[in-house]
Amino acid sequence: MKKIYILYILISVSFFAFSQTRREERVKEIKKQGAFNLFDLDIDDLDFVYYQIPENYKKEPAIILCQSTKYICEATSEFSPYISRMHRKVVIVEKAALEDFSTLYFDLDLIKGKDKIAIKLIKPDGKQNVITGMDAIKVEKGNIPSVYRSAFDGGNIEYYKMAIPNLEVGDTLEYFLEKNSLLSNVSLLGVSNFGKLYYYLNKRYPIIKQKIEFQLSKTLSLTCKSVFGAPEIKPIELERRGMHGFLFIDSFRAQIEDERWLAEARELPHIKFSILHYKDKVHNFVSDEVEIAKSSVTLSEMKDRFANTIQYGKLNKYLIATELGLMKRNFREIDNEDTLVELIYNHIRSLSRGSFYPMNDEAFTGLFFEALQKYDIKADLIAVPNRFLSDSKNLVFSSELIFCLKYKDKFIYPGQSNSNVFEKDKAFDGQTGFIAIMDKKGAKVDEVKEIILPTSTYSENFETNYYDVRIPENNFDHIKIIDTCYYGGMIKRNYNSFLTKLMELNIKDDNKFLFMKDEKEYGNKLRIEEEKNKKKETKKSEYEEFITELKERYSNSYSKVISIDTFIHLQTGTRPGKPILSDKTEFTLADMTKKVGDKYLVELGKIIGLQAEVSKDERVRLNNIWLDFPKELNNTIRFKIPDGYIAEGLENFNFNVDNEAGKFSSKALLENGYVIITTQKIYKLGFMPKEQWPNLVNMLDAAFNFTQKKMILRK
Amino acid sequence: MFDNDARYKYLILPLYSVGLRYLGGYTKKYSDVRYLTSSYFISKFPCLTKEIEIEIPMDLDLELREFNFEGYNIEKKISENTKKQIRTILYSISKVNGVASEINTPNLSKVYPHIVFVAKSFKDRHENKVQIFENTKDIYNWYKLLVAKIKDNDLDLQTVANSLTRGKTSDIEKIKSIYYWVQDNIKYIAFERGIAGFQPEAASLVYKNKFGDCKGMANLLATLLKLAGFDARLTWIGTTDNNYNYSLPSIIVDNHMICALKLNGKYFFLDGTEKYIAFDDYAQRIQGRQALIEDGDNFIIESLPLLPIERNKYTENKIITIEGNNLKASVSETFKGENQTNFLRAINDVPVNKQDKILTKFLSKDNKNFEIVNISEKIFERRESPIIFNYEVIISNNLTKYDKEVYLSIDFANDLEELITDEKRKNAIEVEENIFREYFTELEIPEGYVLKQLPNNLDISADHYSFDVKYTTDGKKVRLNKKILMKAHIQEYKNLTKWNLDLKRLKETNNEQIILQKL
Repeated sequence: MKKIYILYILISVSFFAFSQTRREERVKEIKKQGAFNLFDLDIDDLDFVYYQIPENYKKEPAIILCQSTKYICEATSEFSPYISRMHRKVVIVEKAALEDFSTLYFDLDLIKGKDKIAIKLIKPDGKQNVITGMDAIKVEKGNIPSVYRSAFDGGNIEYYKMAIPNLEVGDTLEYFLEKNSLLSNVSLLGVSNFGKLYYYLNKRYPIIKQKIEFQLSKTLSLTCKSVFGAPEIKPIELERRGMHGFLFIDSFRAQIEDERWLAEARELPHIKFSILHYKDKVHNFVSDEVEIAKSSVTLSEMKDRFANTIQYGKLNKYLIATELGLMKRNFREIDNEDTLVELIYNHIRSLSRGSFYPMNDEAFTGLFFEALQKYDIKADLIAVPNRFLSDSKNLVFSSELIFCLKYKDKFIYPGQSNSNVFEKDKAFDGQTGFIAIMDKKGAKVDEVKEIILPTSTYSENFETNYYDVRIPENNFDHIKIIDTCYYGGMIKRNYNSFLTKLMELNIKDDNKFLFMKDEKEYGNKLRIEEEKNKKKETKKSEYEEFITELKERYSNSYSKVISIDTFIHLQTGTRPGKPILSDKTEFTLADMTKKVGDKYLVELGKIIGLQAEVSKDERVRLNNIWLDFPKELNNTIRFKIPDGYIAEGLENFNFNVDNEAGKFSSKALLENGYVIITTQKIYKLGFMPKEQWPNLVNMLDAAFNFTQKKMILRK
Repeated sequence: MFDNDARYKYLILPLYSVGLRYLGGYTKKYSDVRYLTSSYFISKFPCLTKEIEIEIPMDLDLELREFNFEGYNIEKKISENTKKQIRTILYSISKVNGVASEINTPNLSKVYPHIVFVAKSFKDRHENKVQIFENTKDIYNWYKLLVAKIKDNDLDLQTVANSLTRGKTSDIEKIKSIYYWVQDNIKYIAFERGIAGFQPEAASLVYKNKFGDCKGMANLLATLLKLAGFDARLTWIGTTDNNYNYSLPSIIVDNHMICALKLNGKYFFLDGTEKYIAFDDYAQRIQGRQALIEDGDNFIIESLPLLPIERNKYTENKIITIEGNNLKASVSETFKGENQTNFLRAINDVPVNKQDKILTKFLSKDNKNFEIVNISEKIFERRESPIIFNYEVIISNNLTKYDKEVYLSIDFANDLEELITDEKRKNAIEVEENIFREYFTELEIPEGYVLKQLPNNLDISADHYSFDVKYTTDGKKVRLNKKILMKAHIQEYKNLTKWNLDLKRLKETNNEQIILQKL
């Protein structure tokens, strides 16, 4: 036994020693190579030497004095390596920033790869300390502070972190990261490995100068657009043959604060760019003249782009053949075209759900388009930029486009779990985009024209709740509520994603639309019984899990949810004739009453759930308002007055604020032993200029104040 | 922890259906028996049967200390295999509930059954006894060995000690200067890979890096104090996170390091990881805990003072008037002890230009109906005397007027509501810090109104807590004197019914309204 111990210790020690040696050797090598000399690469860059700090920046906890990012790619093929370098110089003004900068995060591989890091700490007296990055350790878990997050972070990047020794207030931290990657810029189905980057100019700390430089082989072009006041990118001369370059410079950007209801890509100054190989032209918008950065999209390019969407349907020809066969068999007797369109939609929607053929929105539309063509049903392909990413004027990336169909005078958006064929989608709402006019055979895109999609109205997107409220057996600690809820339009779409947690609904839906029959039972009786019990158990545990999640959801609206007593799903809303989703939840709340002698104050206003509170700081708005969509929220509270009590103080519940931005109105009355309170809250538009903010705040304040009102119950 | 050497392995089981069974196992090897510390009988999931079998070579003296076995039906069988020279101890437990993940659950070591392995000694190939951890002295010797191996300082800290104590005339002033400098300038960043989990970092390196873990900070403190001429020593301590003491010779006992300072025959304890704490004040987590103080070849065990509950006293004085539909109050809040250090840590993590906003949010308890105005003095750094905020607040949505009556509350603190437990709770509750809150509130009854009714008073006194709520009036004013006391303790599961009842009564009293009547 002891021998084993000793052997094990020896192995461990030797492994430890080996890894230590490897690390030490690498540290030596890096020191020898002089990673620190990375700074020499920017030795002529005076922006890292001379800077003037505006007075108002000095009140911030840290100031980024200069930040330079370079992308260097000498690619001759789409698989060539490229280098990205980031050089940042930050001065720490106060203690609060020490937390952010005393741990440095980066996505370099220093042991195996060719990546390099150089760090120096400059003390206020000018003394410089060089720090090796070799003490960095892998980040096991936890969030990466935004100030360090890689521009290409799609959630799959491995980060390292290291503690910066001797960092104090007043110090300047300067670091240089060099990362070597493969461009691998072959766009497979529109996905480029280099990525599409939205580079926002305002950061958490003020920044005096920021630069992005591209040094590219002439086989590569730059797609780039400066928006919302960001400076334009300019071509630069490079000495090396076969290379061309671009430079972006921006100065004096203040720090940014969070603001609710902000679509960053539609408001904040940024540049968006991507490095693309000429071969990418099939799937991306690539400049014809490689030395000119691509910054707009023409109708002719959109024509090519549509061909790609059509191709999605064709690519899935085997799938289409099988599914069309199935559909044809099952839809044989359907002669109404609208019904047929709906059934095909539902069929593809169920197919697209994870367990069958997961497909993105474009694939859904492509496949749907192909299926309709096979049925000789006329539909037009439409592409618009995603409302939260771009408008058509600033469109540069193919990946910003989302696709839908026009059928007769209606629009059909990509399906989601339990979506309805004519349901709207917030990403498309009111967007200007492009429509493909097909040739007579319907095989090729003949022409592309501009189109404006309809903007939804608040009455289309609604949630209506009927709350039956009672105090159980005069126990004023609790109130019991039966909430019967109806969701329509885009609110339904949002709620659908939550309902998918109730798998039973999906299965039921899929079985119906994919023409699946109940699984055959096989084996002996005992086996069949066992299977049945298992299914019952699974269903029960899924339901219990759903109820737990539903309780959490309700807990976001009420201060104390005691229990969710029952949940009944009434209607999925997947059929055009029945487009409304509805369910009924019975739940119990506490903390809704206060005792006043022998009377009670009942916080009836709180029944409509938590309402947005606008703090003092939020009352000044810097940016326009981007809601998901306009919407209308209606509530009817039906409170059963407990026997022996009289309800008073109902006039407190009467509110009426109605302006251009929104509406909140409420009315309370007594009716046959019940208190009936109705409320209506409307967000009138999905987008509002910031000048409308005071109006919206007035409406929000009214709704909040309503929730603070109490009814008196006296004997 | 910035980094440690724990590495996790996981295996994904295709549990696609309820009722599936899997049989699995793993082997974990310890290269040094000192690191084999404990084994628990419970885990997250309920268990039908659990066995812990320990095969001990006859030449290893391994003691098994049993903790929290009371109330659990744990069987123990001992057998010996003389041929293999192995003694086997088999523990078994059946039908045991899983540990629910619940807030304020006491550390498992305090309430759940487990065994701690004490590897006392073994016999080497010459049959000589080799001592491992037979007693606390052995633990101390091992720690001492690690301390002796700390790499030499490459920086002269004497100049640092001199500069920190320059101009300070008294010993206390010098000590405070060093102690507070470490608190303010050394960040807590812990690399606890391998032996670094037990061996303090060199003081000079901690000074140079401006960061370290508790051991590094303690070492820097001890070094600087020694260089300033004081008797300062490294000190190992187990925080209130566990329930062990040094009668157990195991590395499981301590999880923290501080510095002990002997001055005029008395020990003072300095914890570099505590920010904004005063000299001779002690965080709740180390109060009353045994400390192992270095003393050359020997060691000293001393318990830290258990400070009175008043250390954490929070006081609120407010005078309220009714103005229209709102209440207006002049408030004075005083924070001491953990309330003070918690606040100072939080506010100093915020950029200076956002501190006002955070302070306002803090004083308003994040209630939109409270508008804080005229904060008299904003103190964000103070160790040796309490923090006091004087301000005014306008409170909306509090008054309910009906007919000739006005209903209002003057008690806005929802004291201890968060400690009321769910009926389904499975665990005991641990209150980690002493709570002492005192409120003196005065409401001026407006002209033209008389008091119709006061909320009920409350007087509850139990083993670890007491609530005293008293409303009085002289006809012109309503006075509320409220005192909430709760000692740091574990409230046992069996007592939770009474606990909830008492807390609910407090809540009901908090919620009750005053009724004024118009003349």
